[in-house]
Amino acid sequence: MKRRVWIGIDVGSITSKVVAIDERERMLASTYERTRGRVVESVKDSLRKAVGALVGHAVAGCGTTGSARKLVGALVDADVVKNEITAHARACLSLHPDARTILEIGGEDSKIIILRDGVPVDFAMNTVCAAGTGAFLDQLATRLGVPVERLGDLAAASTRDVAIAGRCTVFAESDIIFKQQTGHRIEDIVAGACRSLVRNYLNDVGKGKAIEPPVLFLGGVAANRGIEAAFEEALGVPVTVPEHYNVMGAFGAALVAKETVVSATKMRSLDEIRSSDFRAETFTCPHCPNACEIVRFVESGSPVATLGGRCERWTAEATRASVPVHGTESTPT
Amino acid sequence: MNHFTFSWGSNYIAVRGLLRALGHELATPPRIGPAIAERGTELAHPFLCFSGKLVLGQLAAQLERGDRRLAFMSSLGPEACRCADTSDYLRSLFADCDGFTAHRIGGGGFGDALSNLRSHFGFRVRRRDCFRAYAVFFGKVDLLHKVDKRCTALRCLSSTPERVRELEREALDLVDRSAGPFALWRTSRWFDREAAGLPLRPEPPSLRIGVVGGEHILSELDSIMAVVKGVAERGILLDWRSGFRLLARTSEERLAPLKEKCRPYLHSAPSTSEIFSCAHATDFIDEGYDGILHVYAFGCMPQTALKPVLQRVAQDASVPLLSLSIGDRFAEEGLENRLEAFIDLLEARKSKGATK
Repeated sequence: MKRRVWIGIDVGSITSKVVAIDERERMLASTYERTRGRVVESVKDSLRKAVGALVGHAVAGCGTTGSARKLVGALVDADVVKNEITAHARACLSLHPDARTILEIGGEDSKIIILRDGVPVDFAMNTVCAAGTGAFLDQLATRLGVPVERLGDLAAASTRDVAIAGRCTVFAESDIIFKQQTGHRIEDIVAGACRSLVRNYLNDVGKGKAIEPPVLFLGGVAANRGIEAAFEEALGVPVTVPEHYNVMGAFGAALVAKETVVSATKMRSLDEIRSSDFRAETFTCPHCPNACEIVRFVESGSPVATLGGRCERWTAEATRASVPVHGTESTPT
Repeated sequence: MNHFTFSWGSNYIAVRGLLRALGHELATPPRIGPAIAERGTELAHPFLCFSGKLVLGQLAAQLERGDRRLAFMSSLGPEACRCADTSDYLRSLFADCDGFTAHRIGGGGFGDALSNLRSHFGFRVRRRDCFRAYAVFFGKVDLLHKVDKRCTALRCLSSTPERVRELEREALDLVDRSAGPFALWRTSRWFDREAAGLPLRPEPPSLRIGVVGGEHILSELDSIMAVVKGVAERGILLDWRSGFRLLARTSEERLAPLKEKCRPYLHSAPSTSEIFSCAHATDFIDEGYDGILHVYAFGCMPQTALKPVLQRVAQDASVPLLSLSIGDRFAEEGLENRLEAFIDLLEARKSKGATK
């Protein structure tokens, strides 16, 4: 008899993550890859690597999360589609049940989740600005001509404080140029930029939040030791980067799927997903002044699901599956 | 020649009612999209907020299609409202556009309103015309608020949410077509009757969320607030309270007990909308609601200033709070994301028995 696994898929603005867990909620496989704007191909590839390699296992459920969760949910026919705040909280509470604060910084968004007694009690996400996110670090690395992965090591080698204006990436960039022109070392500039990102995060996302230890730091940016050190300095408490810091959203989605799917999964087989010509197209509905931007998922020339309308006009058009929203389980077929 | 108005901070149905009462018509505004956002960004001072840039982009598009007479409502209260009179700035920005006029048609009192209307329409506007036009405008705004809030709650409480959506559409249409105070009174009575006649669900709501703010987010069909309202159809009560009645100037006697209730939190000279929002939040907490949802128009200064105040109110009572800035046709995905997470959070708290 095949052993059951649950799949979690987290596709954000920059990276795609896939995790497979077993009955005892152990992580059997995981992938973390840059999406490079090709969501469908990236998910197909990640699924092949993470799930295709598992021999003697049968998929019992699938959850998606991240900003592309609905698109990916429609692609794979996910059982549950969950927001990334709930997914991250669920994952952290599974691995670190005593956690009281989660700091998460992704490619273009950042969030804070406050946990008390094993329950999320408060959260916040960044507003309209990406200054306190990974996008800021990408821009910094490009400006300095170093790979983004090296920023942490550079920050660790800093010997002098250099203040960088971190309120806005535009101001930060001009400040970095000025600091370069005035002869500051790259290591010191990078460490200064890390501190400014943290300052921005705490003044925007973390403003007014009761940040208490144990503090976990998640997301792709947690790979940067400079940011971790800057958080510890600013908060005055130890900050833990857990082992699976960069795939916790996908892990949480898999856990939610395991809790939610009570009957057979409706996830499509890997072969079906691989051979699918699934694509998303966008158009503006012309029927009223709202001008809703409709996202239509098309497969084999037919619409299979739609997103984005404020009325029911386009919903009826989809024939295969509606996208499960608000985390509710779709009826298994 | 058509009159036109902003799509942000104004309400077409109410402004159209005011203009029609004076024998004029309101042009339908162009859709806001990336091209309008780009145009606004080109035109605006770099420090102007994004919503302001959208307004300017939309205004430029309206001028390009030949509309010339901009009439807009704006606040003139004690609060630091950005949409105060910007007509001088707009006239200077579009000085090379032949025939362009821009006037604030709202007023801090009757005399001010009459003077502003005369600036826009000329001295033929009589006192009684002004009185009637404003009675229609404020009557429509108040009735729209009533329809909005009642239908939001009914989407959860009624066993026929699709009928509630229909009723909302019919009501908005009727408010739009009601030409005078008497017609509005009849529409209001009709709405009350229809709403009272809706069948109710036997089971209680799974969660009760108190909604505060949103005074300047007025009903438009299928507006972005529909995303928020949609939550109610999941069996969650969204109780959206607002004591902000434009028709009846809020008396000091009515405000005094509310101010007293908010005294630990509101220290400076707050605006009426801030006092009401803060007082309603404390009421919801006292009544044991599961969470507070604060909605406000993107860039609304008084409500932005209220955000940390409500955060303190909620933290003191250990009641979850979500502040949502409602933009104009943008970022629905982010809105849904936050709402969904907020509801998950409330459900988890409730199932753990943590709710007060």
